[in-house]
Amino acid sequence: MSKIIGIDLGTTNSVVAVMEGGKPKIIPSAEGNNLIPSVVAISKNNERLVGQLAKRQSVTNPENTIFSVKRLIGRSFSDEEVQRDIHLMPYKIVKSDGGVKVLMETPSTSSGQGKEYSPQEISAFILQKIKSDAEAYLGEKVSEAVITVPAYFNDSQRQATKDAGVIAGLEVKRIINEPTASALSYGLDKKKEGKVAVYDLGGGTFDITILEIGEGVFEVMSTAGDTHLGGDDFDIKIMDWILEEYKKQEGIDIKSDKMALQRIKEAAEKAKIELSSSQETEINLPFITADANGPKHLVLKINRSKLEQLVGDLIEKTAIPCKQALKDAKIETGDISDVILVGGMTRMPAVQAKVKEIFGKEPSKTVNPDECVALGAAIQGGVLAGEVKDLLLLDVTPLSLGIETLGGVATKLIERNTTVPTSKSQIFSTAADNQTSVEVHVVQGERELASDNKTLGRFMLDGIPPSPRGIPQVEVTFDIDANGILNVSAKDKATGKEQKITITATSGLSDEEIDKMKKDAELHAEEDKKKKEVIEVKNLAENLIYTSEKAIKEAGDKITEDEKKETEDKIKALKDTLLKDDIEDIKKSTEELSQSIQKIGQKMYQEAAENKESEKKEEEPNPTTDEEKPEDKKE
Amino acid sequence: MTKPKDNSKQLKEELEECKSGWIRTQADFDNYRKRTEDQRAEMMTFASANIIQKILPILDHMDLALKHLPKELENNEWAKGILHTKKHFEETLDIEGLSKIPETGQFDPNFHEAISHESSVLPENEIIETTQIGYMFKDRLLRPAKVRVSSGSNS
Repeated sequence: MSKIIGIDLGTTNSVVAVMEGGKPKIIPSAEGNNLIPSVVAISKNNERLVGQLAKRQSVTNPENTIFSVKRLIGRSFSDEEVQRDIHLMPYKIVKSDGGVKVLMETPSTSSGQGKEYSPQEISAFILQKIKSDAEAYLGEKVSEAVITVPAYFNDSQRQATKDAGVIAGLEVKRIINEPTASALSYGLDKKKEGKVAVYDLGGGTFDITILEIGEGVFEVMSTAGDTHLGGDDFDIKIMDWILEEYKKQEGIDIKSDKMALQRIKEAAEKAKIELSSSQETEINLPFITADANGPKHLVLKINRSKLEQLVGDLIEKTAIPCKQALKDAKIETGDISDVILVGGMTRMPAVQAKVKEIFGKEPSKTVNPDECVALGAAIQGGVLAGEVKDLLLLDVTPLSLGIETLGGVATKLIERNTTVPTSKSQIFSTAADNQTSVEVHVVQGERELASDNKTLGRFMLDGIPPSPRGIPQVEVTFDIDANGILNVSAKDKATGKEQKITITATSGLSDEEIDKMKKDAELHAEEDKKKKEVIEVKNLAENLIYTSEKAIKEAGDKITEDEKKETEDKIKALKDTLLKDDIEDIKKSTEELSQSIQKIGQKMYQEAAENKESEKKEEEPNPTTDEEKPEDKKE
Repeated sequence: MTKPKDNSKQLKEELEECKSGWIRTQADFDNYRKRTEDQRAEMMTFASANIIQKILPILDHMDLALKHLPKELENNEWAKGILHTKKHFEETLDIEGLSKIPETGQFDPNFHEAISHESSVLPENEIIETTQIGYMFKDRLLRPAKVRVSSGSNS
C-alpha cells in the first residue's frame, strides 16, 4: 500500500511531507533542502529546470523562467490579478481559450515562437519533481497526494490545481485548505468544537482565516488578508535603515552599488532572523565598498527594539484584515478557542505579541511555521490511507521506573518518556554472602535515592541457592502493556524460580504529582548527585574490603606476617572512614587498600610462576649423582 | 433458549485490522531504521559541512581583503603574514573536503547562481566574473558561486 504524500504547493516555495510511523515528516528535495522553489525554466540548452536550478539561472533567462504561477492558475485572462501580472512579470502571459497560458521559448524556435504552457502544466512540472524526489527518498513509488490551496481559491482554481496533479502522474485524493492543513498539524481535529484563527504571515503575503471545528470537520467561516505584505517587506525596511545609517556615518550612498546592495540584503535578512532569538546583533560587512582613500567597511549594531520600531507599522497592518475576518465571521475575539501561527515571519517576537494583542490569546507555536501546512496535508493523506486511527495513539511513561539497589539507590530500568508498550530486563545480584532472597522494591520517579521516589510495590524472591555475594543472577523484567499496566518480575536464573507483581496505571502518580516530582528532581539534582556518589563510593569500598579479606584468607602463609598486618591495617582504616560520609577520605583509603592488596596479588602470581618453573625443572631428567636426590617436591 | 450471538465475523474483521496495522507499523519501523542508518552514515560524512558553511562568510571577507590589498603594501611583511594565514586556513578546510568551484567557464546552474546578465566580449553564457566564490564539499554542492554571466556582444 503506497503512501499518500502531502504537498504545500506555494507561490514562492513548495514543501512535501509524508506520514511515517504515525507522525508526519518533511521529505527533503534531491538537493537536500526542505523548501523547493516553485520555479520552472527552459534553459539555453533546451533543458527543463525545476526548483533551485531554475531559480539560479533566472536572471540570465527571465522570459523563460516562470515563477509565482499560482497567481495565474484557474483564472481567466480578464481577471484583475492576471492583468496586473502581465505588466509585472518578465515572462509572457497570453490568452488561451478564455484561460491563461505562459510562453516559454526554446532555442530551436528561431522565429521567436515558443511553446505555450498552461499554469496547470507549469505546476505539474513542479509536482513531478516533488513526486520523483519523494520516490527517491522513500524508496517506493508514489502515486497519490493531498495538495493544499488557499482558503479563498474558487472552484476553477481548485480544479486546475487538481488537474496539475493528474498531469504530473498523481492522483489527487483531496484538495484541502492551507489553514485547515495547519490546524491539522496542531492536532486541532481532535477537538469536539471550537473556532480557530490561522494567522499566516509568509514571505510575500498575509492571510488570516477563521475556521470552525465540529467533530473533526473544518469549515471556513471567513478569510481576509493583504497580498502584498510579507517578510520581504520587513527585509526592505531593515535594508533602507542600513543604507541611511551608512550614509550618515560615512557620507557614502551605496544604493547604486549592486554588489554591495546584494550583501546588505542578505545581511538584513540574517539580522532579522537573529533578532528573533537575540536582543542585539551586529551587521559586519568588511570591504563593502571603496573610495579614493581605500576600502570601506560597514559595521553596524542593531537591537531588537530598533527593529521593532522599523517594522512596527507593517505588523500593525496585519490587524486590519484580522478585524475584518472576525466581523465577516460574525464573532468576537472571545469566541476564538485557538490561534495558530503559519509562515516564517511569525517567529518574530513582536509579531507574536501583536497576535496575542489582537486575539487576546497566546498563539500556539509548537509546530514549525514553515512546515505546518505540508505536515497537515500529510496527516490528511495518512487519514485517507487509513493509517491514522485513534486506537494507535501511543502513550509514554511520564516518570522513570526502577528498583532499589545496594545503598538505597534508585536504579532506572525504564526511562521517562519511553513510548509504551515496552519491556526491559536487567540482571541483578545479591549483596551479601549466602543471601538466599532478594527484595524487589519498585519505585517511580526521577530522584537518585529510592526513598525520595514513589513506591509502586514490593515483593520477595527467595529460594536462591547460597553463594558468595555477586554470584547469583536474578533477572528483573519491567513490562508495560498497551493499557499502561506494569508487570515486574524477578527470576533466579539458577533455579528458574520467579515472582512477580502487577501494578495498575492508577496506582501511580497524578498529573500534578508528576509535575511536582519532575520539578523536585531538578531542584535537588545537585544534592541527589552528591548523595548518589557517596553511596557508590561506599559500595565500592565495601566490595574492596570483602575481596581483600577473602584474598588474605586464601593467601594463608604465602604472605609474611608484616604484609598481612599492613593490609589488615588498611582494611581497618577504610572501615573507619565508612563510618563517616567524607567522600575524599573514603576514596583515599580505598586507593591505599587497593594498592596494598595488589601487592599481595602480585606476590601470589609471582610465586605461582616460580613454582611452575621449578615444576618444569623436575620433569626434565637431570643427571644426578648418587648423593643428590630430588627432594623439593611441589605441593 | 437462543443461540449465542455469533460475532465471529466482527472479530475476524477486527483481527484483520489489527494484523494489518501491526504489519504496517513493523514495515514503517523497518524503513525508518534503514533510513536512519543511511542518514547517520551521511551525517558522519557531512557533519563538518554544516560548520564549514557557517565559516564561509569569513573566507569571503578574507578574499575581499586580498582583493583590496593596497598597492603600497604588496611587499609589506605583516600583510604577507596575513596572506600566509589565509592560505593555511584554506588548506585546512581543503583537507576536510572543501574545494573551490572554478571562477571561470560556462554558466551552469548546478554550480552557479547568476546575479546579472551583461553584454560582454565573452561568448554568451560564459562567466564574466565570480563575485562570490562557490564551494563543493566532498562531491556535493555546499554553496553555489555568485557569477556575472555574459549575454554576448549584442547590446
